[in-house]
Amino acid sequence: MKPLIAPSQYVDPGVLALELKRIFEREWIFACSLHELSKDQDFRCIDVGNVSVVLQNFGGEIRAFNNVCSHRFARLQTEPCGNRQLKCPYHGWIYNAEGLPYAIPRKPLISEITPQTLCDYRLVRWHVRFLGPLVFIKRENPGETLAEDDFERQWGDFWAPVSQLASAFGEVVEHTEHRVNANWKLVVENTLEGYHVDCVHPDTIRKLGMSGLAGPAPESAQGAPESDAEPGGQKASFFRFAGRNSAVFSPLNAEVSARMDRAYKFLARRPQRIEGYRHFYLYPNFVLASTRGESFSLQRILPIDEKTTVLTSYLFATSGLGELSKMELALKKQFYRSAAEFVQAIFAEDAAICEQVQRSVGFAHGAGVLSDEEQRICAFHEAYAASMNFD
Amino acid sequence: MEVEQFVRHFENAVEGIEPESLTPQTQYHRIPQWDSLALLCLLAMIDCEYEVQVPGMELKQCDTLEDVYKLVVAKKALKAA
Repeated sequence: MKPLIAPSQYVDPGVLALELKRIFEREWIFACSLHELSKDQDFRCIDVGNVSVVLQNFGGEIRAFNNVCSHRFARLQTEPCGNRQLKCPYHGWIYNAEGLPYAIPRKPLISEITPQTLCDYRLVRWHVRFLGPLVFIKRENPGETLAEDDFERQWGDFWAPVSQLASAFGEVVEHTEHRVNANWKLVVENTLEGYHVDCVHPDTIRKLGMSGLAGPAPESAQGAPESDAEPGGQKASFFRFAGRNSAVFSPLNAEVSARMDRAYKFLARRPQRIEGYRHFYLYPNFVLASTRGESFSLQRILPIDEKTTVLTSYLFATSGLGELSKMELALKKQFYRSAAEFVQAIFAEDAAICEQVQRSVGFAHGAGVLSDEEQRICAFHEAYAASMNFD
Repeated sequence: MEVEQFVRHFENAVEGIEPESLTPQTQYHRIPQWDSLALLCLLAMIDCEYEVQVPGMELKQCDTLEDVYKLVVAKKALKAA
């Protein structure tokens, strides 16, 4: 298979400017966990490209806006997260859940603002949707009507299995941000293939005993957790595709799984008892992975510039374990601490190799090539080319 | 002896160990059941029964179960101080 993204597109700032317009301002972007916005006036800011977006709880309603005052363009919320009303620190304009300035100091002195013109000063709004406790946003474009099920349709056939997984999320175990000195597409592509595991993760992922690619996915495996437990005795990894999205399901070493079951008996009560490891990718930049339904790891991959990316990661525990004994609580704490350390070790290994590639991709002498194990990269390239209107 | 009790807790915490088969002089990292999962179970047992945290790196300095027990006692004393 031939890649559709040319090496030069990983280093060109002009390409990134187009990507921000044609991808990041048009697609659903994972913003944060609902736990961060649980109380009235809780807020969380994220940078989507060069746009700062603020998500804010208005009496239980979660809304998202460009984080820029309509008056003199100051940032409304200046901290990454916190609890305060949506009030401009410069001249004190306060905005409501509709993004309208409802309290303007010395308003009579601004003759242009009348009840008729107030809407001209509305903040730029972003649509908000939920996947379990996860908050996603998409920029509202003037004159564009968003279908009620636009977010669900973005997931395609993955909506049902991913919703099931998300319904089992418990508390946040860890929330981290990593700065990676590599183009965001390299970071995405690295998450989409297991071909590099033997070389890059010999002491981490490889020890879990994940197998290589078996070939085409069995037709019976529709991505639903209850339906694809090694169908037909399937013992190797396989891919699924749903629109622009893709997934890989990998069985784990049976002996390791059995020993986990014996050591962590309390996890048998988890609501999503899936087999092995599942890794879903939602175009353009969101990843959700789970090992056996015991823990759930999410990543958002956002560009800062053409050679710098922020990888934001959340690790969730499973819910539904009921009341735990003192020993079970201690085991649970060790289990998730170990899971968090494992995830961080993998991130460090992946970041190092992505940064290596970034340093050399600008000097590539050809277009490169993709193996069958890199089919998911191919699907990403097709979706990307369609978004960018490349020929 | 309290160190004997510690050994019994260890036998209970790590899967596949016969009760009363180990002694304080057992080199825990040489038993057939020892691996990364057993390590997590040991750390959880220490947290649960002795209410102290022992970093994995410090545990690696210990050779026998008695060494681990002494480390736990030292951690408890430090916590109480």
